[in-house]
Amino acid sequence: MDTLIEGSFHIVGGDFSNAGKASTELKTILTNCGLDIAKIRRAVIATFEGEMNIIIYAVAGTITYEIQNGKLLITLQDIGPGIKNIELAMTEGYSTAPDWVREMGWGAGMGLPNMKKNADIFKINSIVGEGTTVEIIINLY
Amino acid sequence: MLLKEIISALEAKTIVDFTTEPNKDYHWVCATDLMSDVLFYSTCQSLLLTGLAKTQTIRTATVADLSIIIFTRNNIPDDETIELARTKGISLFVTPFSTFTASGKLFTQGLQCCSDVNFTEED
Ligand SMILES: Nc1ncnc2c1ncn2[C@@H]1O[C@H](COP(=O)(O)OP(=O)(O)OP(=O)(O)O)[C@@H](O)[C@H]1O
Ligand SMILES: [Mg+2]
Repeated sequence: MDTLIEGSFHIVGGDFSNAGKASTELKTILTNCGLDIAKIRRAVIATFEGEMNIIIYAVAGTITYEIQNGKLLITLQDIGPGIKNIELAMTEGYSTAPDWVREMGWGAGMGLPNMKKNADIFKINSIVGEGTTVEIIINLY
Repeated sequence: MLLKEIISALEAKTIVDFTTEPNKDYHWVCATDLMSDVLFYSTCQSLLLTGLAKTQTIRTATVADLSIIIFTRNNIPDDETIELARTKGISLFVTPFSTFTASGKLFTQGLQCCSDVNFTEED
């Protein structure tokens, strides 16, 4: 895969009616690129979790993807409250999601751990009061 | 278990059915209302048993490559959700039983929890 494939999605905080739309669109794009199905599954599962975190916790965000040099890079960047204690947030089962979010099917505290599990490289940066950036790299070969 | 056996054990009704392999054997079930559990534990061969009948359930199934959802306790999704399932080719069924009872019925027939599979998509 020599040619650069890239694009982005804008995510609006609180927009549950479109929850998962960007990730399912990304799945279609990656499928049309002919990528390996298991890698696509990992990429879109991680993206979906990140998309939900932006919708649930942030004001707004952007998801960008690019395929270059045999790697798929997905960046999820948001403007929002940020994460005070990243180590705690990365713990399986840790969640600050309120009850109404649980009623929508989220708040198991498995999102960030699952993003890490599915990525070959996972990076998270957050500034309290500004926002959070997560980078996921999946090796395609 | 065959899908038709599962449907009969759960007294389920069909909402939309895209399945094309009547003799396909199902072994694994992911039973939860929390979508991150589905995304963390499910394997692409599992059936999704859930009380959450929302568009996000369809999108979760889409990204996790799950092609069959059985909604419990007569939670029939709205038209938008059914329409989305149609565009994604996901089959939907609905059972009158609760997630607990439906899981019990499938468990006694030998179906297992998807997170008990020692299955990696790669290697
Ligand atoms: N983009 C974000 N901005 C601010 N806080 C976040 C963000 N992402 C995660 N968090 C915090 O980290 C916690 C853990 O996130 P994680 O995605 O692992 O679980 P969850 O969103 O609570 O539940 P789940 O992802 O299982 O539905 C969240 O409850 C929230 O407090
Ligand atoms: Mg989350």
